[in-house]
Amino acid sequence: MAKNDLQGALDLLVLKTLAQTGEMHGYGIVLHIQRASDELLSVEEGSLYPALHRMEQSGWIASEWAVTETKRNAKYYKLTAAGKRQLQEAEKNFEHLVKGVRAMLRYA
Amino acid sequence: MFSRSSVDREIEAELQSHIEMRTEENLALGMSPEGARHDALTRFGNPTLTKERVASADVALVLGSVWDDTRYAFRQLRKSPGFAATTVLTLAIGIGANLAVFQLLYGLLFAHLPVKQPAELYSLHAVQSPFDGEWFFSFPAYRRLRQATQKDAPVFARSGFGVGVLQETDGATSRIGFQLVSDNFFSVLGLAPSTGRFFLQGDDQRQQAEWPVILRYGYFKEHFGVNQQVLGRRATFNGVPIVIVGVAPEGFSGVVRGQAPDLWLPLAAQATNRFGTWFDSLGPGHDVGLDRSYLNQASIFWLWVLSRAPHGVKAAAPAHWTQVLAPDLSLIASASRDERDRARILASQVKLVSAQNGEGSLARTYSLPLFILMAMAAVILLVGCLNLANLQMARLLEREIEIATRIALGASRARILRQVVIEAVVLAAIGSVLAFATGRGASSLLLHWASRRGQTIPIDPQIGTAATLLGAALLLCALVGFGLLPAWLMTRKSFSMASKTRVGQVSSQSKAGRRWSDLLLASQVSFSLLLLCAAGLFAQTLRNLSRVDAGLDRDHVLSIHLDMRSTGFVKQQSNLSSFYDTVIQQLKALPMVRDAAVHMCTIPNCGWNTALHVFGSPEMAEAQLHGEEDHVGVSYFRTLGIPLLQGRDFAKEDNQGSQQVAILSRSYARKLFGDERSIGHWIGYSAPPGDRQFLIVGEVADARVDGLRSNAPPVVYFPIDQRPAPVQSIQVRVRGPWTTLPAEIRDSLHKLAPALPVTEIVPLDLEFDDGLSTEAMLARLTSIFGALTLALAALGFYGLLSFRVARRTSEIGIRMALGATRSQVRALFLGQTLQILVAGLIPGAALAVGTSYFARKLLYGTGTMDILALGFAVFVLAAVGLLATLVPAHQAASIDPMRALRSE
Repeated sequence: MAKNDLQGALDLLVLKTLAQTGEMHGYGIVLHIQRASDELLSVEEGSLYPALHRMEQSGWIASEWAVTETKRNAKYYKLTAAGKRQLQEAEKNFEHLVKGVRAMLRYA
Repeated sequence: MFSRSSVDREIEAELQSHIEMRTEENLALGMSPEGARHDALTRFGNPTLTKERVASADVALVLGSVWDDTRYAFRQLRKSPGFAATTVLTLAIGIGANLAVFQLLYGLLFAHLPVKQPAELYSLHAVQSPFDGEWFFSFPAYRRLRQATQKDAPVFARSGFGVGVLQETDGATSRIGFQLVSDNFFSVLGLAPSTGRFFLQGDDQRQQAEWPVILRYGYFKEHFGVNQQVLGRRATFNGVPIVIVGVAPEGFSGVVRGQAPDLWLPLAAQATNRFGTWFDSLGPGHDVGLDRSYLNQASIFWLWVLSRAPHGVKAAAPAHWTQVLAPDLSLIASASRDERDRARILASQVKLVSAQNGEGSLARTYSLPLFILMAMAAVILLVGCLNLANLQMARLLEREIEIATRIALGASRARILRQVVIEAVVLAAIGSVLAFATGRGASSLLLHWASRRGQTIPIDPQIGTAATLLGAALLLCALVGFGLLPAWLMTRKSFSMASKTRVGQVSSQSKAGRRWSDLLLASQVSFSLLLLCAAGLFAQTLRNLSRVDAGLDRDHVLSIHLDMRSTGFVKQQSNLSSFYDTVIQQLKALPMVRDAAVHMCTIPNCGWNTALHVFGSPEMAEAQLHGEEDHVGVSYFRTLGIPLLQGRDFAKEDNQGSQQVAILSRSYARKLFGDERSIGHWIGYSAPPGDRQFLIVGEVADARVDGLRSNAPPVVYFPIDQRPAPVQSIQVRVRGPWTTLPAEIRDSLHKLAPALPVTEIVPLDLEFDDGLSTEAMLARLTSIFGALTLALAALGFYGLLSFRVARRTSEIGIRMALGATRSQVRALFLGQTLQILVAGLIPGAALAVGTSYFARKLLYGTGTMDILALGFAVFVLAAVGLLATLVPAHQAASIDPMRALRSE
């Protein structure tokens, strides 16, 4: 269960990143998460790529090779319609989890 | 396992670009080049490991592109060549057989004539001819019909099919088929000549010094070669001068299915009396002159009449036609003695029967056998697919762990299904290429088998749109049946289990799955039982028929076929009787010839339909009088081995100067005289005083002169010397082996009369066997189909049962550890096989009975249920089934319990 939820959290972060940035390569996703979370979260880069590929196979995201601003080839990912639905779902689940955990912590 | 090179390269490039971007940024932040790179790598972790993890995510979830899936499918299939080969072969044979039979069936029943708007074509049916029951018209009747609706619904006519001798200017002769047609035949059909012209208006009635003929395109191409200039070429046909004026369009071979005349002549050519085709008449005594032109005789019926009736006139035209036919109806009615018959004939009305698929009896003759073969081919494919479904299930079970792993890694069901389906598609694609090739070859073979000696049934077995569609549909069904369905069932189960069970435990086959495959196996048993049973019945039918006592000695008779009429040979003979006598003497002088006799026609189907009136019994009903008539030479009965039962045989003394005599067959004598002695009675062709013409001098046994299938007809024999006429055959009774005899006969006849046209010399039993070509084809094909199904069923049994036993190794181990003996384990598996067998046998037997009832018209002497065939089928299936179980069951029982348990 715990593993699933952690994986779920990474998925959520990636999906949200893509929702906010539109189209992004793996490295950009790492940077974005770091920046957007005020450096609180840092994604383990070795885990990011398996997750990206898994989400692509599941049809949540789609990829395309393109050239970066620094003229470098990179694989860009973007959300699909299924990915957008998945994001909503994941956000809801996460809110739920956070609520639950918070309630648990507040319990005297 | 996978071809990972391209995938690997892509992943590597992606990870590489990540690391480089980080490095660049580090540099921008002021790090040293080494430091920047080192930091990037450290942050990233072990790139090789990451790459592996990314790749495994891809692999587990099945690669993205269909191309990758296809390559993966090939790889998987190469790993199980047995399965791949079985699948491809099953599809090739199963679909190929269906296509082969379907092409023929379609060509026979559904293909339209290649003419303009075939839907407007109709055959005119008014009244059936008195003896042969054909929808014939006389020439005068046809002319009247044609004039009645000249503009609205043009009427045209054709004769039956005839064979004649073509002699070209260089002296070469050949026998070719012909048909007489009306002058508007081609124009009403809406055809355009491929070269030259068609007949001119009036060719119907005009006598010509040189008859215009039109060639069939196929004949033209074969005989002359397409580039050859043929228009204006002259030749003689049956001794009559002809000139080629045109060639019919490619693909058109007449309006009768199964008959392709090589050339067409105008109807008026009949007046030369050289072109004999099938006819019927009111019979002797009704002013029938067979040697005169038919064109002005209303009592000779030899034309089939058709019309192009557009939708608007279709309703009104028949009434017109009925009206103008009144004189013909009353003429035909007057020839009948039966009051009710007369009333029925007079009340006849012209009916239109669609001729868009062509005329003729070919469809009637072959549609039932072909439908049966079609059903059988469908069953083969069904059994084949059941088999494949079972094999596929087994294969998927073997790959269950792999599939479960993928599901656990997050692969969607659609992905897994796609993989399996692509594998099936690959197999199906290969199978279908083979299937179309098989289908094409097999339908030619089928035609060949179904054809009589020397003449192929002219159906064109082309792979048309319809056959292609059928092939595609069958392929789709097969794909769903053996590819998608098992995978669907399988993944449904795996999905529910994957999360809950240890991977290793998934393999214990669920009860539901086993029930499914039991059902599949049982239905395979049912169907193969059905086919084997049918094969048995048809084989027995053929055996029964070919062993049937024909009432004559067909094993020791050679039949010499002559064509005296169309070659004009007969005209050169002043005295036929003495010519026959010389020929017979000449033949009898040959050492191997015991006896010989001339014969009006060739057996089987020789006799003419006739009616005999009995002197002193004018009140006899019409139907009682009907029988067949045959004209034979002296010693005909001895030659053919037909026993003389009473009275005397024909003798030399029965000639044109003496009292006209007749010999009746047993059944005709019974029909006319009951138990009374027939000898000494008088008979004739017509009502008194015409009924005191012939004296009955003898009675012979019945013989199946109309072929082995039909019972011996009532026959009256007349001595040919009393009414000399050209004969079509000389029957020769031989002694000992006769292989060299035909050559000697030709030689000796050639010496005697060089111009005598001997067309062929055939053993009589072969002529009879020719009549069984449909039965032979059915017996042969059903045997092949039956054997194929049985082989498939056996394969299925063996494959599945041995697989199951192998999967239940641990269960067997537990059972034996708990004290079960080997024979108990063996009995367990044998019991399961027996259950499947019995579950299949019972519905199979019921199906077989139903089928034999449906096919009863094609069976002979077998009844509706053949115990022998059924018994054989049961025995074979049970033997195969038990054998297929016994070996794996024995293996299972020999397993060391501890080892079996440890395998878990």
